Amino acid sequence: MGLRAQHSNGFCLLQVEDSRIDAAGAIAFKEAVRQASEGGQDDVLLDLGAVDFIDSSGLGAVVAVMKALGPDRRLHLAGLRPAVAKVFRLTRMDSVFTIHATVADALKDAA
Amino acid sequence: MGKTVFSLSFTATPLAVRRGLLAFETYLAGLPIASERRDSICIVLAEALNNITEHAYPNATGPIWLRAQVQGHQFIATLRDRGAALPAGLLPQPGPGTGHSAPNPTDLPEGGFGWHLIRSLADGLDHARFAQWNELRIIFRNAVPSPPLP
Repeated sequence: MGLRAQHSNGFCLLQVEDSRIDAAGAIAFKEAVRQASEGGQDDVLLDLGAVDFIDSSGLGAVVAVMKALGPDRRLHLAGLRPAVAKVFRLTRMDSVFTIHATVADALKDAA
Repeated sequence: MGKTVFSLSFTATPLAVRRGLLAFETYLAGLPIASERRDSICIVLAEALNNITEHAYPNATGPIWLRAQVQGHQFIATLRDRGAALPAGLLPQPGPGTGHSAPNPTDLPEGGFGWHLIRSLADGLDHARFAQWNELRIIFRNAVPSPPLP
């Protein structure tokens, strides 16, 4: 799982570089996010702009990532493409996560 | 336009399912189906294939056979596997009012979304058990604006 990490405006910004978060990649995704975010205090902003497709296993992995961050760090999502946004909407997970249209919007909101 | 019938068999593993779905997406992109609807079809197929991998073949793997085609305005996908029979009651007709809702997001479930997505996005589901095979037929109504030319 390709994941590019940087710190920006008080966020741990994680850019997913793979085009799918699916059953074949869900475990690697969880592990990559855990490694990239552990030890920090910042909220995590997950940039999904390169992700064309997510299935229920991938969605479960995103939920697991949020739980692993604990109560003091939020998980923000940005850049949801149409098929990904549809999965979040139909499962009502769009009400659980803080979703920003773009990474730039998320950083601006935090500034 | 690409050919109107898609047929592919592969092994029920997550990686083979991913490769099968990528081939299916390429086929689907050649059909006159709106991109929003193509997304829905791909989501349903992915969940149905994951179910086979996880539940029909829980301790081993086995073959999956996927066939899809346009029939008039409908798009129909048929999945076959030789795994465990689908539990009775898992397959009510999709649509509102069937008594099946999404998991409550405030419970933060990490699973249980698959059938909900299938029921939400497919217009018809038919399951049959033939000998040792499961056959799941998934129907998407009004997916194709006009029948393809002969």
